[in-house]
Amino acid sequence: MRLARVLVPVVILSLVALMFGQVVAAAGFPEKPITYMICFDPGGESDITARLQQKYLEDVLKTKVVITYKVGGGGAVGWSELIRSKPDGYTIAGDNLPHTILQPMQRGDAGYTTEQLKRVYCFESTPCALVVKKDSPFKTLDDFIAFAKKNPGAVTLGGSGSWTANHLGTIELEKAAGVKLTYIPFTGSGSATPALLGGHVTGLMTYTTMAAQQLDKFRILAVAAPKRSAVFPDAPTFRELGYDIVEGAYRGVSVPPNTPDNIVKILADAFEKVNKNPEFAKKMAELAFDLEFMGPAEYTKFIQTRKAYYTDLLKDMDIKQ
Amino acid sequence: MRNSNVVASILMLVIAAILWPQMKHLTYFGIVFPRAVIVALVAAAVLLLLLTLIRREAGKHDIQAPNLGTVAIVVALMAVWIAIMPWLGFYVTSVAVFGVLMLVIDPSVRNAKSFFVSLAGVAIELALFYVAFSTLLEVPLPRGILF
Amino acid sequence: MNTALTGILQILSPGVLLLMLGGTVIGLVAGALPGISATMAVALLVPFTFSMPAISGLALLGAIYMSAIYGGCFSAILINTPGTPSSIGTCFDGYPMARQGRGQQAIIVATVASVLGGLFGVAALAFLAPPLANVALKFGPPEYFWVAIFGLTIIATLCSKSLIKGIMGGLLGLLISTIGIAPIGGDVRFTFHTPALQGGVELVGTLIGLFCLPEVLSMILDGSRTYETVDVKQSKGVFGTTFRQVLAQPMNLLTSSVIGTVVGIIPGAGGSIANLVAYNEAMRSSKHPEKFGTGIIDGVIATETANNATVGGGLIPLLTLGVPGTPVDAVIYAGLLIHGLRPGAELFTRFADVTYGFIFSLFIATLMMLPVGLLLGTALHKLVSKLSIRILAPSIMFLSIIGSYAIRNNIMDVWVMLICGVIGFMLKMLKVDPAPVVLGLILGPLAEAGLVQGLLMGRASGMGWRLFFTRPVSLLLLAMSVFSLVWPIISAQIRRRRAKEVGTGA
Repeated sequence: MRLARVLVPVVILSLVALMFGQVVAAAGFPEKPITYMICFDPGGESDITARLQQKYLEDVLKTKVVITYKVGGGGAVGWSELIRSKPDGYTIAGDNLPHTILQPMQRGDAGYTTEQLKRVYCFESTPCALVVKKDSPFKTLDDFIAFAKKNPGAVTLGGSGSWTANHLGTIELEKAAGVKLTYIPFTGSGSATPALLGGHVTGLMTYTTMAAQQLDKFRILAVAAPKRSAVFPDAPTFRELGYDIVEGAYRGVSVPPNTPDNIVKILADAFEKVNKNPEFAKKMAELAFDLEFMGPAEYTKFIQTRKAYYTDLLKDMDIKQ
Repeated sequence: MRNSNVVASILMLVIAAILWPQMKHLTYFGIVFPRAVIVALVAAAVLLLLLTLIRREAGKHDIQAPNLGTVAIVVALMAVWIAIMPWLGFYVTSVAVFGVLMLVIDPSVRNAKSFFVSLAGVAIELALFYVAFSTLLEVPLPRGILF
Repeated sequence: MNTALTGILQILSPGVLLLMLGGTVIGLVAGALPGISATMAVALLVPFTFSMPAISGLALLGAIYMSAIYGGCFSAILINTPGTPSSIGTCFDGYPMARQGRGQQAIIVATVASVLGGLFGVAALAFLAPPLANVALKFGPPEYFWVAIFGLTIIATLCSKSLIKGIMGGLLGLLISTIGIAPIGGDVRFTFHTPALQGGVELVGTLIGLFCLPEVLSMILDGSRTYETVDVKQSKGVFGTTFRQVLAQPMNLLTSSVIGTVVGIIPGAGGSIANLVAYNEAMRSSKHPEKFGTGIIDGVIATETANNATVGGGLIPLLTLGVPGTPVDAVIYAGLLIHGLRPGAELFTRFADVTYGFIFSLFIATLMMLPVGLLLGTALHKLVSKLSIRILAPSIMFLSIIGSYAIRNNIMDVWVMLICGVIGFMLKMLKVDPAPVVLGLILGPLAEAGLVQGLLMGRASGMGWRLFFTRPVSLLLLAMSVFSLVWPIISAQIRRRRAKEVGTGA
């Protein structure tokens, strides 16, 4: 018990000291560990990117970067937590498009608004890809569209979730080609894959990263990106085939509203430096991620254009409850 | 009314009544599953109620109410624990509530000294957990005005 | 085969073995702590593997995975709280055993069963992966719906005494599972305008609330110790006798292993479902089903064998098809990808050394659990049985709070835990078993997604709801559900008739 009497004050004092170290901050950002919040399950695209960034970020920022998970509601739980966090730059969260645009539009109260997330940097995107099984009768996008035209609603496309990039990519394809498809949402891009491999859906509207993992079993009909992917250069883009569809998930980081601009800049520069690290870029490319280089202003502006575009696209659909 | 079947059925009917109107604004795909479940729940509750009445078991008092006062105090203490955690910090709150709980559970503490010795032991126990969770497991435990 | 041997030899180096031993300890502790799931433990360690050779990293993750699933049994047995959802069924008989002073025996049973189940699953992975992988693909949305329905029929066995109350509990669980964002269409449901509830109700917090808090409350109400004092001297020959008792149930071990492996293979299912299905099967085929839930080793054998068998089973579709069988596998998948290993045929040819090394490391890790688990389990058991209630009860409450918070770093989950605790206490008074509620909560998302996705498929094919009744695997599952539902009633009648015959004969 004597040991205990010595230990208690020591433990308490050291914890107090720890706390004071964190109160006196702000002068030279960053001075303490940064919490990098991931709003999706470990193992997903957001998590893989963050885990790859972690080491390089720590090198650039010269501080520890702690990755925590705040999962739920398709990201909304984490983002509504972020906007209530201290705006000191020590809490940052991965943010996703189109999620952070469409959730506030569709849910009424998602717990945050698109504008409340102060955007720092957009570092990667995964374009949508329309894939079928290798042994499918559809060899090209034309085959696929021709069949869908003859059989309205009979073609089923699996994808990740409702009102996500996969869902919107399907809607855009329906509009551009004048066909009716049946979109079936799964709980993630991963759980849609076995549905296609098992022949339970006709095809998938998935991400290029997913397609890259299953190159030996999938046939990529078209990619919804401005240019072809380096991982599968044989797969055409929708634009080449005459359909103006560019859709995908964009991933970046955000901070709470009212975070000082100079801190945002330090963070944005750090993410840009990581993106330009050849070692990091190589790993991302292998996994079929497309790197993006959008700073705070550019990213915010990009979101405004996307928001206007989605509002227009969905105006004749019953998205709002 | 001390029959468990009757109370349980009524409880389920109340839950169904609270949730049913909330489905008004949902789309077909959002509603199809919960609606089926609520309908089944109401059916099961009504069936149980009817069976109990037919078998004339409704008057059978089979609920043994324990000392609800103690339960209420413990639950309230836990609620306080959770409520003030974000302000006072996880560690401080836990040690404080822990101390009160020890007194509630076993009021027959012989003297102040033995109580504080146990509390010191508890403080170390909780500190170990705190450090393990916040640093090793990287769980961001709530910090308050102290730490 | 030569390359496979190189991989196996790499595992046998002292450095890798030491790493795995560390992983086993970490996994055990993480599994035993309610709130630290196997998924989290593995996710935390993934970054550390980046700087390691692929094979050592995978061996470490595999060891953590295997032992975290096993570690869940400690808290299930000692404080009636499943450390991971894979040990829910272990509470049913493990905790009563502990209360009767047979906690150490329960831990030994769980350990031996876990090791045997784990070895079975890994053996299936090593020798039968390609043919078994195709099983995973037979399951489309309608099949998932029927899997969930089959899972729900367990209620008929679990609650044979008051079936309607059991059904009500199950429906309540299903209803709770619909809180949050609808899986199809994205509707916001039953959140009472609380944004944090968009994420739904977390299973682990609910488990802690429903199982653990009512126990703590009755512990406090009883005022006395809930555990009877353990005779430490008795523990000398207990390992040998218990070991033989476990081996004396070969059918239980075999069926539970098969159930665990198969459920592991089905993507999206996992240990949480496997252990309950195995418990149900053990109870159904038992000669004395009425003894289940009173503290017999049969129940613990079934659940712990099955949940560790899911580890090997879940890796089958992952390594062969790139389809994770369980949530933990999704994290291991990310680890594989980052190491430049793409699941699929290549893994068994070009990277055969890594793949077979990994599978071999799982064998070793499973065997390591035996000594490590017994040491740690015995120590934990002694600690819990020595603590006075005035320390033990608040400590368990502290663990419930930190555990329900840690699972998603969300204070909302702690509130949900407390509310579930109150509900659990009320249900106990109303004689409603909490197990069906949990079953509903686990199976709800599977049932709903399967139902609605199936309806969409039906709409597209022009078959409508008939789709659910035309696919062969669906029909098989439907038949299994009917059997599982009707069997308890029939067997009860047979037993009654037999009792009568014996009665008239005498």
